[in-house]
Amino acid sequence: MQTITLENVTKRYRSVTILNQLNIEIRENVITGVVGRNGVGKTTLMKMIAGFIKESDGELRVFGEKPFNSISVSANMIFIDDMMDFPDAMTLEDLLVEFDRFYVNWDGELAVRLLEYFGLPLTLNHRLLSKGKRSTFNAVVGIAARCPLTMFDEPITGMDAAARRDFYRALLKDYIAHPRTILLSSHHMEEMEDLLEDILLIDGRGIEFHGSITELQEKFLSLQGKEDVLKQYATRYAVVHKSSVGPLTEWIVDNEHTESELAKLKQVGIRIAAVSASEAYLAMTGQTRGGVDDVFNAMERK
Amino acid sequence: MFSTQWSVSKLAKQQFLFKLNANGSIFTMLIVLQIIATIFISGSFTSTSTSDWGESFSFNFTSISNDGQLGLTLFWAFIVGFLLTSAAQRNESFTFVTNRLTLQLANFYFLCTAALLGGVTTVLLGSVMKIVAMLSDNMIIETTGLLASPVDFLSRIFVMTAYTLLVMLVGYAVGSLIQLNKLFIASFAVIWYVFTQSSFGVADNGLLYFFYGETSILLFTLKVLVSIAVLFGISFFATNRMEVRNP
Repeated sequence: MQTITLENVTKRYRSVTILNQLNIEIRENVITGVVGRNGVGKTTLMKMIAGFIKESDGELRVFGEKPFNSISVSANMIFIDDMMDFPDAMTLEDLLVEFDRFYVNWDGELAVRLLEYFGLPLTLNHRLLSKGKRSTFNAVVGIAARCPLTMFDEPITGMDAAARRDFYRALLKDYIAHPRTILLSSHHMEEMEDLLEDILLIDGRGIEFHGSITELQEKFLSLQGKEDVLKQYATRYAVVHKSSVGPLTEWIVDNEHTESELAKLKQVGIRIAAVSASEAYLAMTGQTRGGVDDVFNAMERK
Repeated sequence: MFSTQWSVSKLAKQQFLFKLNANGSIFTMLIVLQIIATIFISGSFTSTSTSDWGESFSFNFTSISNDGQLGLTLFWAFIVGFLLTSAAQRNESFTFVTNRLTLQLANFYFLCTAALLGGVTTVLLGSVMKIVAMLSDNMIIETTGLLASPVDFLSRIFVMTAYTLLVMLVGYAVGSLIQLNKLFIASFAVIWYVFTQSSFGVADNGLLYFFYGETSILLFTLKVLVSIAVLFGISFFATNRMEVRNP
């Protein structure tokens, strides 16, 4: 069962194309990580699904309905980010009452308990919260609303390490008890990869990868060995990332090897290992090649 | 496939209740403005007229009006209508469940409530002025009250509420159009200039006379209702395709 389907969906702002011809299907009750570099359109995609903004072209369906101006989609969806607007005059307690008014599955007791745990006094005003506390409040609201479609757009902005860990844990626990479709975008892939089932990787206005997290990992292999050995034997593979720690050099390469090739690499003393999802993600988005150092090196040469 | 279904009217009502909770300061603002008007603005206008029909005698008319309060209420009405179209107001509603139609309806309910409150309090302030007049001077007060002529009193409340709502919707429509396109600011400035410089607004056959020159309360009601419908329609079509949470 599909919760969200996109067919050739394009989003343009005047002449700038943010998302181009997307085809995505998000399965029901699956936690999908929406990842990609800054400005590739993750937020735009989620806001389109939320019905906040309108697709320029193509067919977008959420629960089988066009989300823009749909009451049903709005009632069954919650979009959480750090820019959520709340009335200035209301305290957190007042806000919880309002959430209860609008969200049928709202669990007020869970919200109060979580806020208590995270050290958020209900008498405070949302505007007075620090950046991390504000994100925490929004995230708690997102969990307690128990919407069939829950979207978190970088929910951990400003949270400290403990709060982030607790948030992921709370989300997972509540998800297991009350399964729902969750979209979660974050730049901290290594922190959320245990939570995710599917990955949706957006890059350069299109979908780079959409599939399960193990599929993403299997696209790459990590080769570790002495640099000259690697250079001698592993040259025919497309290297997406090189790094050296101590005497060993690590190459992350495309996973297109036959068994005999792998056996041969092992013979010459190269260690072959699987990559983590975050390493695979970094490799795919080219965040590992060259790097920002090149910019400064180029300027120095002038 | 949905677990939750809302009807438009039910959701609009919930949004309206949310707006009432969120915008209490708007009503505080009204009360403060009216207190200011009562203390500082409303003065008495004394006019003396002497006539000589055989023997000379003179009258001293002191008329005390609550025009100041009325003016400030209408000013408040315009600001309230304008404020409701702000991006922050929209985004706050979209934090919860809504679509653009239910948001507009909730805003309309809110404006009606605010107009009723503004209308009632402004007319009641007339009674406050009577007390002030009585305390300040020993005079005969010639005016109608609730007990003396209830229909007149209630029609005053009705008319004041209608004017307040009308001004609110003007502010709301202006705000909505400006939200649609900032270029409307310039055109409204031009309209305002033309309106104040020409006699179109205040002349006996002008725009304002269309309302205050009406002597039949039924026709007046009709005119106001049609104007409100037109203004609300403009606001609705201006904002129904608007994207929210869009920096």
